[in-house]
Amino acid sequence: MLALRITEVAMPDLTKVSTRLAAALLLRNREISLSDIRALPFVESDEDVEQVLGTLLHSFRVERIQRRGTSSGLPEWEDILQLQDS
Amino acid sequence: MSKGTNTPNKPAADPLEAIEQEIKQKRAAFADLRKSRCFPMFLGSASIGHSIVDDIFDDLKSNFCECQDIDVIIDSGGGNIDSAFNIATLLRQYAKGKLTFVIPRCAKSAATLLACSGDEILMTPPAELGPLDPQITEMNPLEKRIERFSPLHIESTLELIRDEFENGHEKLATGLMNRLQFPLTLGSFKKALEISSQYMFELLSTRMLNGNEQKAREIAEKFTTGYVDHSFCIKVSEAVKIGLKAKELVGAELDVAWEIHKLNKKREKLERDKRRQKLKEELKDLPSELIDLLPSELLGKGAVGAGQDQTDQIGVA
Repeated sequence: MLALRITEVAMPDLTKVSTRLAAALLLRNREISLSDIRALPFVESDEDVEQVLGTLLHSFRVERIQRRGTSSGLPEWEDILQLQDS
Repeated sequence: MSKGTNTPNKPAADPLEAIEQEIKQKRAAFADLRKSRCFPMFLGSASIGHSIVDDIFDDLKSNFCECQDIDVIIDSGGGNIDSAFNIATLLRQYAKGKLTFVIPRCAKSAATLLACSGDEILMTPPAELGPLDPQITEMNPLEKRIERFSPLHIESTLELIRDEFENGHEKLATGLMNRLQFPLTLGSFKKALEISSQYMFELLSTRMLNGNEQKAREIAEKFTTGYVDHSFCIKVSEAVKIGLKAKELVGAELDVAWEIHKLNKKREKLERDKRRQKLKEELKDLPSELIDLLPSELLGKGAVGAGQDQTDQIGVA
């Protein structure tokens, strides 16, 4: 499990753990939403979200798009980072 | 999208669905009170961007063709300024009568530009607009952290360096100069301020302040360079003071708009909890091999941002 591997790495702060989890999800699903980042373990504040998001934008070739939610009758959107083909 | 009329609703078993039904009812009540059509733009944590322009155009084309007065209920922290300008022009095109922006709580940054594109802004007592200086997000190579700054900071930084140089601290001034961005990049950041101001002037001078170009220019300047920080809270009194046609919501309109806001926040929280639960399951199943595919800077094998120069801009919000 990924969680076990992560505990083996010396990490200065918990945001870095969240960033690695976000990066792993991005690699597996080819995309990750801002709502997913917000729901990650150790992501507590808007600043944490910004750090994770910024690092993903810096480390991967991604495009940021907005996708409309389909679950409800209300118009709502979420930001998605999509991995681009290199 | 609802056309702002009451429709019979079946009782919902799912709490999320129940809240959504309640929001729809409140929205219809607000439209009845105001005798207008209600267009909700609850963006939550999503930023205003290109894809939203397409969705909004689809909504307007399908549901708002013969529309007189439109009330846009907006909750947004901002986003891409070009997209906000585009959405503003679309809404203006479809509102044949009065276009009003209703702000229960937040319309910051690019959403402020949007709010200023109509005939009037209605705000609750805690509602806030925000300054329009663009935000540039960059990796600080020394701190290895993502940082935000405004093009307004360029002026103050250059001033600081000039002062150090004039006070005889040449080495310090040179050191600071060496850490600055590539001049063309600095220039493009400064240009972003002018774009914001131009959009604001264009929108204000052709609707809310039609015929008063001088005032429109003053307000555009104030929003882009007149506030000390991007997070500055511009309440209804300040909006009126600088010359916007803004009013405080009162009575039943205030009650319903505030209820819509609170229900929407409740809905966002429920969705976040649901997402957190789903993500927990997904994380359990992540294959460990994935960690080997992560870029080295994420694994602590190299500094984040190492090998990148300082001009490595990653986004403008």
